[in-house]
Amino acid sequence: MKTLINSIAIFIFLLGTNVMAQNPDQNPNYAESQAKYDEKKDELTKDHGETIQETYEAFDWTENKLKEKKARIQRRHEIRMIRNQRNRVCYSSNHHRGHYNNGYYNNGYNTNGYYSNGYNNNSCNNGYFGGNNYSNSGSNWGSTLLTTAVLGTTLYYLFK
Amino acid sequence: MKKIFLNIALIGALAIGMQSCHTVSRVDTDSTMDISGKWNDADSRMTAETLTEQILGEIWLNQFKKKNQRKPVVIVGFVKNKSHEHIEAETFMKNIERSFIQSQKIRLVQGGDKREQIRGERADQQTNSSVSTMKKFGLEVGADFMVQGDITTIVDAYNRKKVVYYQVNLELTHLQTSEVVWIGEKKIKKYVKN
Repeated sequence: MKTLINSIAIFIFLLGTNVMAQNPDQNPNYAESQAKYDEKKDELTKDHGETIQETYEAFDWTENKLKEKKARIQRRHEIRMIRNQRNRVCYSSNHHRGHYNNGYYNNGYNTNGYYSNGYNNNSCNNGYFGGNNYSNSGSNWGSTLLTTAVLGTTLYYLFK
Repeated sequence: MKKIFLNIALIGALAIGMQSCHTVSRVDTDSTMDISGKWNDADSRMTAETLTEQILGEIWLNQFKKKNQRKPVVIVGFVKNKSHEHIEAETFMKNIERSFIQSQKIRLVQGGDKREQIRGERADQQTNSSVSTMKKFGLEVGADFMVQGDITTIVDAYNRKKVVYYQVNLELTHLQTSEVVWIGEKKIKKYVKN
């Protein structure tokens, strides 16, 4: 009995101290917020004392002009590189006929309009990269063969 | 002949020297310097001045004080940029917030990311700080009003001429009743000729 009275007294005391400690104005749902922020407190406090960089690129006329110039130089350089590469292949192909039929020029470079704009009017091409260029050489050879076959058959039946 | 060449070389060197000349000078932050015709610091400053004057001087403030016998508490919401330019609203919004505190007429509570960080720190204190210094949850000051705003522009251009009209609107809404108690505006019109 005595133990029970003591327990009740301690419980009442603890309850009393708890009520005393709690501010009457405190939001009764504060524990929800506390639990929510307790989970992400590490994430939220990791930037203490640091500068968060949220910069944006402001338009600067001079810098923009410089950037465009660099891009232009780079583009020209790339075009020059591709042209040189093609010239090398072209040179070697003059010594090795049939090189153009290996699919190298059917790789898309010649079908994107890039090489039909006059870039290939160099000394190496001599019209190879014009309208009937080697990029379409596969189909050209096919049509020539077909024409030859049809012509041959016609002549055979005529002079048989 | 030699003299002519020398003069040409001298003029050329002078021209190159002038071209590569890069100078920096400090100017007064209150000075108005229009260069490109876009939104700049002067526009931001003028907007802040006008809106501060409007928000602190209009009737809603006295009405609130009379009714509640205390200063209103305000939280700043978002400002939507609906214009054609990059405009940082924080520059003039901070000026307005500062005026709330300096004038002691309006109380201001933190919002957004900064408030999140504060709550995070408070959560951290629950397990790391001493009981006497630990700050409790559930005792923040609730705002009475929220400030929200938008920036809009109208551009009229023909050939090398351009007219740009900026309008910055701020609204103050009561959080309980959703009643809009104040709307402030700042209009700026620029004529740009290239």
